[in-house]
Amino acid sequence: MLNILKNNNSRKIVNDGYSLLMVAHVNELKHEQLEYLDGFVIDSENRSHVQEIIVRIRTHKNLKICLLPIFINNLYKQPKELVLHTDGYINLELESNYFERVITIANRIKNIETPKTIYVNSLIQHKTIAYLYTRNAILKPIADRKSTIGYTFPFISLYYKHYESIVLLKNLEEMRTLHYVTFQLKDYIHLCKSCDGNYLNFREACPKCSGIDIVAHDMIHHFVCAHVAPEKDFKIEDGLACPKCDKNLRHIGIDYDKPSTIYSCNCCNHEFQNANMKALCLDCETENQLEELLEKSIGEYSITQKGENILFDASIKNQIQENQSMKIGSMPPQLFKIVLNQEIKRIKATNGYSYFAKIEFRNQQLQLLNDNVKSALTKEISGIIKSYMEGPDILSAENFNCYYLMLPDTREDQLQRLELIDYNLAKLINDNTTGDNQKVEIKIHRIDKNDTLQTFFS
Amino acid sequence: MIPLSLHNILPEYMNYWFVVGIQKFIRVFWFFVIFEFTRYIIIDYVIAILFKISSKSRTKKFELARQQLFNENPFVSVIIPGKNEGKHLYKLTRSLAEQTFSNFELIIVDDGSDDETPIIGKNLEKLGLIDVFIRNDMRGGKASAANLALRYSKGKYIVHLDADCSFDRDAIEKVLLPFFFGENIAAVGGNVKVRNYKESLCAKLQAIEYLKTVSIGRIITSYLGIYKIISGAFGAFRKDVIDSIGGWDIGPGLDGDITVKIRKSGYNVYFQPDAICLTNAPAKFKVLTKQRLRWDKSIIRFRVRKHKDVYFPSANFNWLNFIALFENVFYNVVLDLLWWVYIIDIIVNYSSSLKFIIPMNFTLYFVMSYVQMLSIYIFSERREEEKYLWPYVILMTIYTGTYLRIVRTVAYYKEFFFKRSFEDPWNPYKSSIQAKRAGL
Ligand SMILES: [Zn+2]
Ligand SMILES: [Zn+2]
Ligand SMILES: [Zn+2]
Repeated sequence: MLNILKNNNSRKIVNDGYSLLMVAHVNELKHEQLEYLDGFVIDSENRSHVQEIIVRIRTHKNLKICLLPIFINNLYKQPKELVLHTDGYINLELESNYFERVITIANRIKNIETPKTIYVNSLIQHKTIAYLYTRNAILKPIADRKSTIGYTFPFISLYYKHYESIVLLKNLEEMRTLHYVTFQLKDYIHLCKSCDGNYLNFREACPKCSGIDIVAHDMIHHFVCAHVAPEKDFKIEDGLACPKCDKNLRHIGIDYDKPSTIYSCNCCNHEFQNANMKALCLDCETENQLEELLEKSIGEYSITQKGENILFDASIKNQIQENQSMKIGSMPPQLFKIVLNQEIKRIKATNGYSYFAKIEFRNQQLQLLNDNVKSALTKEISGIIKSYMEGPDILSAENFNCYYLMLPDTREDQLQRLELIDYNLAKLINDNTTGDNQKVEIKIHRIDKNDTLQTFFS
Repeated sequence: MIPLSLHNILPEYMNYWFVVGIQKFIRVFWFFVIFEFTRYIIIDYVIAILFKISSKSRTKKFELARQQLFNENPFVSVIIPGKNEGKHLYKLTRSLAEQTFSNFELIIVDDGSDDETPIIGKNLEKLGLIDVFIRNDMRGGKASAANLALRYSKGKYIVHLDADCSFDRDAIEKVLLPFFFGENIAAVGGNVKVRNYKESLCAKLQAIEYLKTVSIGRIITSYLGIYKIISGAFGAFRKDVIDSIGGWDIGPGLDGDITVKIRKSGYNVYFQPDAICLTNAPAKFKVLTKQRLRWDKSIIRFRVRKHKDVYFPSANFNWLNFIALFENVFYNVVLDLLWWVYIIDIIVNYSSSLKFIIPMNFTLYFVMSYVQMLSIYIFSERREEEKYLWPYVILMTIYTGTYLRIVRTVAYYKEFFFKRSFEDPWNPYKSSIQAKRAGL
């Protein structure tokens, strides 16, 4: 039995105790108690409205809400990169077709435990596996010109901004190493070494001077006299003639052939057979050598038995995640925040001088390191920072590329230790990675009596 | 009573010859006396002595040339054309990096290899161990590969090498020196020795043969001005001259061919015994037979056919070129035929004395082999090492006198009557058919 109820400006399709909310704009979600719903039907033609609705629901903090089915009224066609994150089009008049699906998903959602982890990565992992479980589906990427990696994944892609695609892949990779999912390779992608973009312009260049003004010539072998030279040597007014024996070349394969090609560079006159392939990133204008490009695998992910088990017993998963977390800074981040908060209060009371520093590594290559290397690197970085710290200074590591440092009772002219830290960290990174865009960023902030924790961790 | 006469200690077959007298001896062993003894003992030793006598002035000449070489420090292109030689390339680059003369570029041409050569070559080029690596996907034959290397050479001199050779540290320096004699020398041949002589009997016999025909034989011909083959394994050329004659022509035997072309263009060629390169000789007789059939066919194809013009009076007629090729053809082709005539002569006229003739013949060649070996000992810079080969010299009579002679006869027959060298898979068919049609 189908009813479309309309009250408080909201429209619902109710069937057998299950209700779907018809939405045309994201604001309509504000006044609803989403946890009592069983799904949504998007009823709008406006693309950006549709997108906003999908993002709002799918990235909802509440696991049970973000998994709810989202349908699109088939009166309105939407682009495939949006439809991807939904449960597809429905014809409102054929309610039996989709309510069966609503019920299956609802039953499955009921089984799932909400994870207690505080780690964003783990939460996203949990939600993604749950999404696959509730849909009984495989995570299949679709080609997407607008994505920096050229592909968009259903559901999980919504959790990352377009420039964070590499982190997304990293997270999928982690799910795979944790054996929550299996992977089937579909494609390799190549990304710019500095911005992870895939909008690359490939061209061949001279291996000597790197110029791209190069011309390919066919090589000609004149059989009878064994003369071999580029075609230009053989060119005469009307055809080809051998410069060695003066005979005209008549028939390829009979009296001559073209055994290879050779390039000549118009800039430096170098002649070579193996041109260097280069890739110019059209986003950040970085010139990449082919071997410098980041190669990533794109493929389909299917949930494993272990993955399903995690959904029903979230505590196991939390343990694993906890073990992987960074514990190398001298103080855990949560504790550091409490201490920092006290320091703010102290400054308010004493008008003293204290500094807060945030040390960040802006280097995509670091993202690609495996966990063992990351943890070794974190130790090494912490070691360097610690070696320049003074008595009351406090260090905390948020993760392997973000560190907090509190410098109590320090005046502006006493900050040389930060310069030393900066220099030595930059050296460490440059010695261990390639490319020239290594960046260590240290943000210094004098703790002010008006500061709150939000000032530092917004 | 003659208790201790010579007759008592010599075997009976020798005593026989003392009894019949010198005239019959010459009649029966005419082939040995007229051709082999005069050419390989008398001429060799006369020249060996002359060569030794002039060694002081030669040392001076080399010293001067050396100064000039290092003053000018000319840019040299070392070219190595070949097929499926990738496995040798790394070792070769190491060997070349040790050279006392170092102002050279290294150009490798991969002539349609079907193994890992292209990958190895590209890598070595990337690593900077090879300056230019060019690959032809379609095989064109050795000559075309050498010409391709020549086309991209920037040096004033070209040094042509085989990939499976290794070189004394001063080999390139030494091979370049004769260009500075001021004697119109356009090409210099290096000395090729067998590296793997310990590998098998076959290799040992070739090692001895190379010492005789290359190390000594070429000193002699070079001294006489009739040197006519610069080994493909190690030779140096003036780039301008080699360009002017259009580089290499289709082989097999292209190294001998280009030497003759250079001589015909009016330049001198020089053999430099001190520029030493070691090569691997075929270790099995089966492989050796194949190689020699190819080489021997090329004598007919080039010396007899392609360059027959040197035998006839013309504007460019040159006595030394005439003698160089004539000597070559005579001592190989003519004597090969004559030897069979000799055998028939002996069988027909002296069949009853064979039991005296055969052992004596072997004795003569055996003694000659060791006498020749002594001249090698005098010349060689590796004489102590080469003492290892002395016990095997005894087999040379069978090796050169019988085995190589039979191979040669077969080769001449096939080439002379059937032009079989044009069917040799050593060249791609497409080239051979064109060369045959053009009568090259
Ligand atoms: Zn970029
Ligand atoms: Zn260039
Ligand atoms: Zn031609």
